[in-house]
Amino acid sequence: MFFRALRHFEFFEPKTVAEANELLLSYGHQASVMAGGLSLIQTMKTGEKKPEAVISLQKIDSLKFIDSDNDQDLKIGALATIRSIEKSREVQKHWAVLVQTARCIGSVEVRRMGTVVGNLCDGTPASDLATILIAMGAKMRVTSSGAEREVPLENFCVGPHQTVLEEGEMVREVRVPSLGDHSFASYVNLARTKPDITKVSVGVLVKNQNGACGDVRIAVGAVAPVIVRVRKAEELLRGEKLKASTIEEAARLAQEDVVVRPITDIRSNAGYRKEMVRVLVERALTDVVDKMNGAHAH
Amino acid sequence: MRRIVCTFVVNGVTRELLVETNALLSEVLQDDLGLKGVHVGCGTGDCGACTVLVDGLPVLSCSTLAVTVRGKEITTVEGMANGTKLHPLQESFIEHGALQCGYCTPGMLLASKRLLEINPSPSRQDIKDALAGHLCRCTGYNKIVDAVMAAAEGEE
Amino acid sequence: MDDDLRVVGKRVAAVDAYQKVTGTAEYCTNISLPGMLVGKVLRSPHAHARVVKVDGSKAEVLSGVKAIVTHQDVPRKVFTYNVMTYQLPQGELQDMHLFDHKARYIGDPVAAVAAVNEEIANEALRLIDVEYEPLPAVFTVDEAVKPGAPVVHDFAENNTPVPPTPVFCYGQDVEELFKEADAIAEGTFSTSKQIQAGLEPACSVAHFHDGRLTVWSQIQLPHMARKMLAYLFDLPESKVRLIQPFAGTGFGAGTDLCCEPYACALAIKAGAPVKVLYSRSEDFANRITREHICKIEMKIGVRKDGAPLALKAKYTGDAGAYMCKAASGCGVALASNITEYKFESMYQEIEAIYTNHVACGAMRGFGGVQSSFARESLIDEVCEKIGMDPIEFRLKYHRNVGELGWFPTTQISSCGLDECLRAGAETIGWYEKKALPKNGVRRRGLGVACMAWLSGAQPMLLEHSNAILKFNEDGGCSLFVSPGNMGQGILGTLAQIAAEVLGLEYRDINLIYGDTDLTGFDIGTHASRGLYCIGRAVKKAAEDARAQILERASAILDAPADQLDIKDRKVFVKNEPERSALLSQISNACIYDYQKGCRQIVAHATVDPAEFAPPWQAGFAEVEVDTQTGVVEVIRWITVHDVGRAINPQVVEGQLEGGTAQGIGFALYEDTQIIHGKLLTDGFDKYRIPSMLDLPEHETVLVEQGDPTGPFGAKSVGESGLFLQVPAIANAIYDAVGVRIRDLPMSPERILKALKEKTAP
Ligand SMILES: Cc1cc2nc3c(=O)[nH]c(=O)nc-3n(C[C@H](O)[C@H](O)[C@H](O)COP(=O)(O)OP(=O)(O)OC[C@H]3O[C@@H](n4cnc5c(N)ncnc54)[C@H](O)[C@@H]3O)c2cc1C
Ligand code: FES
Ligand code: FES
Repeated sequence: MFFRALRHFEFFEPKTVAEANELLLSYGHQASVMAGGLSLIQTMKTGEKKPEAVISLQKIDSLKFIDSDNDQDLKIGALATIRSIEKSREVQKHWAVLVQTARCIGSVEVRRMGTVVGNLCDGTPASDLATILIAMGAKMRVTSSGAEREVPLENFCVGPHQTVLEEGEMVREVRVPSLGDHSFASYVNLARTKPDITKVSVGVLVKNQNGACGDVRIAVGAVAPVIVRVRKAEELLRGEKLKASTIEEAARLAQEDVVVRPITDIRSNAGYRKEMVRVLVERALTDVVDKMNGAHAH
Repeated sequence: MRRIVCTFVVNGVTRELLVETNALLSEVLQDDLGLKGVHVGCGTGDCGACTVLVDGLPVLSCSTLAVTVRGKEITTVEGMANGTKLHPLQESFIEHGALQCGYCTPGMLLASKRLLEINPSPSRQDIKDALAGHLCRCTGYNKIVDAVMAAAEGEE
Repeated sequence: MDDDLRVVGKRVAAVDAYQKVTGTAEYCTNISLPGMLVGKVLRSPHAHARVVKVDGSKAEVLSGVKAIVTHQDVPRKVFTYNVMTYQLPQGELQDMHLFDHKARYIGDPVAAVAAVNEEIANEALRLIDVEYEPLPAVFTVDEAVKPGAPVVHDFAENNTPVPPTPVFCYGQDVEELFKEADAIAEGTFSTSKQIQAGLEPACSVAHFHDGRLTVWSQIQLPHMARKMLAYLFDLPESKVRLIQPFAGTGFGAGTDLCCEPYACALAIKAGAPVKVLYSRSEDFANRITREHICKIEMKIGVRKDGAPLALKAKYTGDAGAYMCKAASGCGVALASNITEYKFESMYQEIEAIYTNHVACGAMRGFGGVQSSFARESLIDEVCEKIGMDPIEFRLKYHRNVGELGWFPTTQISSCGLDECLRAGAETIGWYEKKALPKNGVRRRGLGVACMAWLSGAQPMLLEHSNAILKFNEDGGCSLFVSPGNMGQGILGTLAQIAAEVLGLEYRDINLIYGDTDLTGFDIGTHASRGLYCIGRAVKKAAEDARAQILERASAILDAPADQLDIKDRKVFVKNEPERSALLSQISNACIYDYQKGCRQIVAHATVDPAEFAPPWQAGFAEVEVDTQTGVVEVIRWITVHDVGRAINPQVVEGQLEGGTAQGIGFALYEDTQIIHGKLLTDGFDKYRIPSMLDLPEHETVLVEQGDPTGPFGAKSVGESGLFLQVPAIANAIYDAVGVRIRDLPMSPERILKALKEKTAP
C-alpha cells in the first residue's frame, strides 16, 4: 500500500501446461512466464520488462521433476530448482559436473529460488549452467498449444536475453544426454568475486575413444552475445590423444576462433576475456584428462 | 487477478490480508505487517539482508511475489526467539560480537538457523558456503562464522 | 598500566545487540509514522545542463500527490552537504543550492514529490515537466583544466577551486636532498572512487509540526547536521530536532547530508511526515562517495643505510560536481605522511578539480588510505634497492614518542609500532617464508605495510564533546552522549568507561543518545574520534559524579571524601572496607532528602582535546598469484594494531576485521566505473564487495601499551582497519611475481597486463 516497487499486472496461476499455453497465446507479447521469478522480478523492477500479465508456472505440479537414470537422458522439469539439481543423489553421481557448476551460481538462496530452465530461458551469455549444458548437448522441450518441439540448447538463444521462443511457447523441460562411462565433462570459470556473475567460462565434454578424443564439444560463455562453440579447436582434438601440446594448440585455436568476440564491460575487458579463453580451455581439457585417467585407474 | 485474499502464518500467527499481486513479500511484511526485522539492502537478490524463512527455507523476500507464498509459514527474525528466550543463534551472535550495524543480522540469523537444522555441526567452510549470499559491510565475517560455530557446538 | 580494572578491558556485549538480533531495532528505513508520505527526488538525466523550466502543475493535480518542491519552494541559499564545514573557522567551500538552476551531474536533484504511495510518487515524477538545456560536460581532471573546458561552477576558474597548493611541508629543499639520496623510488598511483556501501540504503524521514522540524537521519554528525538544516530552512537550531535511529550505513557516508534536505523540504510543504528512501542504485549513484584522490604522484629518497631523506608528493582530487571534502581529503592524506617516518624533509601539494561526476565526501581512512598505498609501496621499493628488509627499515626509521605528529603543533604521545612489527612478523613467519623460492603457475608472496593515524582531527578541526550523567534513586545512571551510532560499539565502550570510574556494572549505565533534543553538543563521529574524545568527556563527567557521590557519602560514613572509594555499587572507607554504604542508599538520599538537602547527582563535562594520540599499525599479507589468469588470492591477513588500551577487545577486533574486508575489497574488487558521467556499477551486483567466500581467515593482534592522553590509555581504532590491505597486498604481489601494481583495484586484468609488460623484451 505504501512502497511498491513493481507496477500492477494481471497474475495467473495455471494448473496445467495446456492452460499455461493458452494464457500465453491469448496475451502474446504482453505476457511473461514466471518460474522462480528471480530474474523476471528484477527486470520488472528496472522496467526492462513491463508485462501486462504474469503467468506463474509454480502451481503446475507436473513441471516439478528431475528424472535421472544413468542410462538415459537427465530430464529437468521447468520448475526444478538449481538447488534441487545440486542436492539430487542421481545428479551428484552421474552428472557431477552439473553440481559443481551449480555451486558457481550466486548463493544458496538464489539456487533455491531460481530454476534451471528459468536460468536457461533468461538467456544470458554468462550463464554457468547454459555453458556446460551446451557442451553436454542439452535440448530444450518447447510446448505451445497443441504442439511440442525440441530445440538444441545451443540454438536456443539468438542474442542476450533473446530466445527462439515464439508467442504462446514455453519450455517444459531440458534434457541432458547421459554421460555414460566414456564421456567426461569439465566446467571452469572466472568471476570477480566468488558469487559474482561469470566473466569468462568454458565447458567441455570429451568422449574417450580408446584413449583418444572421440566426440568433443567446447562451449565458451560470456565472450559473445550468445554462448558459442569453438569448432576449430574441437576439430583439432577429434581423434587425437590429449597430450599437453595438443591441448595447448586447441586452446590457442579456441582463443583465435572468430566466434570469440568479447566486449569490455564492468566485469572485464575484451582482451583479457579473449586470452582467458585459451587459459580456461587448457585447464578444462587438462581436468578432463585427469578425470579420464582417474576413471581408468578405477 | 490483481488482488488476492491471502493467508500467511507469520511467526506462528495466522494473518489474512488482501494483497495486490504486484506486492513483494518484503513490502507486505514491512508495510502491511509492520515487521521491522525485515531489511532490504539491495532489492536485487545480491545481499541476503531481506531473507526470511518460507516453510523453514531461506528465501529472498525482495524477489518474491507475496501472493506466491500464500498459505505458507513465514518466519522473520522476530519469530526466532521463544518469548523472552532468545534462540541460541541470537545469543551466540550477541556474545561473539557478530553484528555491528545489525542490518545484515536478520538474514544471517535465519539462514544460519536453516543451516544448523540440516547440518548440526558445520565446518567453517560449510558456514561460508551457506552464507555466501549474505553481505556484511561491517564485521568482516569472522565473528559471524565464530558465532554460528559456537551455536552449533552449544547445541550438541 | 593499572590492571585493577573491572569493566574496562572486558568483552561485554554491545548495548544495542539485543534489539538487533530480535528485529526490534529501529532504522530510518523501517520508521513508519501515521500519515507518512513517500518522498521521491526527480533527478537530472544530464551530466551538465541548465534547468530552464520546472513545471509541476500536471503532477500537482494527480490524486494522492501531497507536495511538489522545486527551487521556487525553498530559500535560495548556498550550502553544502558537508556539515563538517562548521569545524573550521572560515568553513569549507560551500557551493550547492537546493534544486539549483543548473544540474552538474547525472542525478542532480531538480525537484521532489511527496505522495501517498510509491506508485503515485513515481507517476508524479513522470508528470513533472522539466526543460533542460544540455551543456557540454567534463569527466576527467585532465579535461577539466584544459582551456575552454566546460565550466562546472562559474566562480571556479579552470574548474580549479583549489589550485596546486603546498601544505604540510617541512625541512629544507627536497630537491637538494634527492641529490644526496642513494636510492630513490617514485611513481604515480591511482585509486578507484570507493563507495561506502553500507547495507542500509540512504533514507530520511522528516516531519514539520507545530513550528518544529524533526528529522530522522543516518548522519554521523547530528548536531552539525541540525545546524545546516536549520540554516537551509530558515529555522533557529532549537526548532530543529535531529534523531538518529540505528544506522545500517556510515563508514564516512554519514559525514555528509544525503536525502535529509529533500525530506525536510517536502515535509515542510506537505505538513505531513515524509520518508525519502533511495533505491540501491539511487544510493550508489547519488551518495557522496569516498574522497576521491584520483592521482598521487610521490617520490621518496633514502640513504644507503635506509635513513629517510625526503618525500615529495602531489595529490589531485576529482571533487566531482561539488566540493564537499575533496580538498580536506587530500590535505589529511598529506598530513598522514608526516607521522610515520623520520623524513628530514617533505614537500607536498594538493589540487582539487571540479568535474561532472557525483561529488565525493569521506570514507573510513580519509586520505590516509591513499597515502599509505603510495608511501608504503615506495618504501618497499627503496628497501629492495638498498637491500634492506622492509621490516628492518620500518623498525629503524619510524617516528617515536615526543616527535612531530600529523599536524605542525602536535607531538606523538605514544607508539607501539615496534611491537606491532615484531608480533606480526612472527605470526606470519616473515623471515622463513620470505626465503622460499618462487616458481610454478601459482606463486606466493608476502607483504608488509605500516601506518600511523589519529584519534580525532584536532587541532586542525574544531573539537567538542559533552557528556552528562544523571543518577537515579537506585544508584544506576543515565549517560547522555551523542556519537554517530552506526553499530561500531561506541555506546558500550563509553558505558564501560563510566562504569569503571563509578564502581558500577556495565549494565547499570543506561545510554541516552541519538537525539539532539536530549544530548549535549557533540561533533559526532568522524576522524576516529569517538572513543578517544567522547570517552574523555565521559570519563571527566564520571569523575565529577564520583566526587559528588563521595562528598555525599563522606557525611553518611563520617569520613573524609578522599579516603573513600567505590566498588561494586558500594562506597567504603579505603582502609576500613567494612565501613560502607550502598550506592543506592546514597543516591536515594540525594533525591529524597527530607532534611532540605535534595540535590540529584548530575554531572556534565565538556572536552575539546588538543592531542591527537596516534594509533599505529602493521599489516601483513600473504597472497597467491595465478600467473596465467592474474587472479590474486589472499591466503592470510594479519592486522597488528596499537590501540593504547582496548576498552572492549571484541569491539576493537570487530572494527579491524570489518576494515580488513573493506580494505581487501578496495585492493582487489571494488571498482566504481563511470562512463560519460553515468555510474555503471550502481548495485551490489555490479559493485562487488567481498563476500564470505572472498576473504581469508584474517587475524587481529592487539598491542596495548597505553597512551597518556587517552581515556584509560585508549587510542582510536575506527578507521585504521582498512589502511594497509592495499599497500601490503601490492607489496606481496610484487614479492610473488615481481610486478608493482599502482592502480586500484588490483584486478586480474591489471596484473596480467603488468606480468606481460615485464616479460616483454
Ligand atoms: C543474486 C543473483 C545471482 C546470480 N548469479 C548467477 C550466476 O552466478 N550464474 C548464473 O548462471 N546465473 C546467476 N543468476 C541468475 C539465476 O540463476 C536466474 O535468475 C534464475 O535461475 C532464474 O530462474 P527463475 O526460475 O527465477 O526464472 P524466472 O525469473 O522465473 O524467469 C527467467 C526468465 O525466463 C523466462 N522463463 C522462465 N521459465 C520459463 C519457461 N519454462 N518457458 C519459457 N520462459 C521461461 C521468464 O519469462 C524470464 O524471462 C543470479 C541471479 C541472482 C538474482
Ligand atoms: S534485499 Fe533482497 S537480497 Fe538484498
Ligand atoms: S553488521 Fe552491518 S552489515 Fe553486517
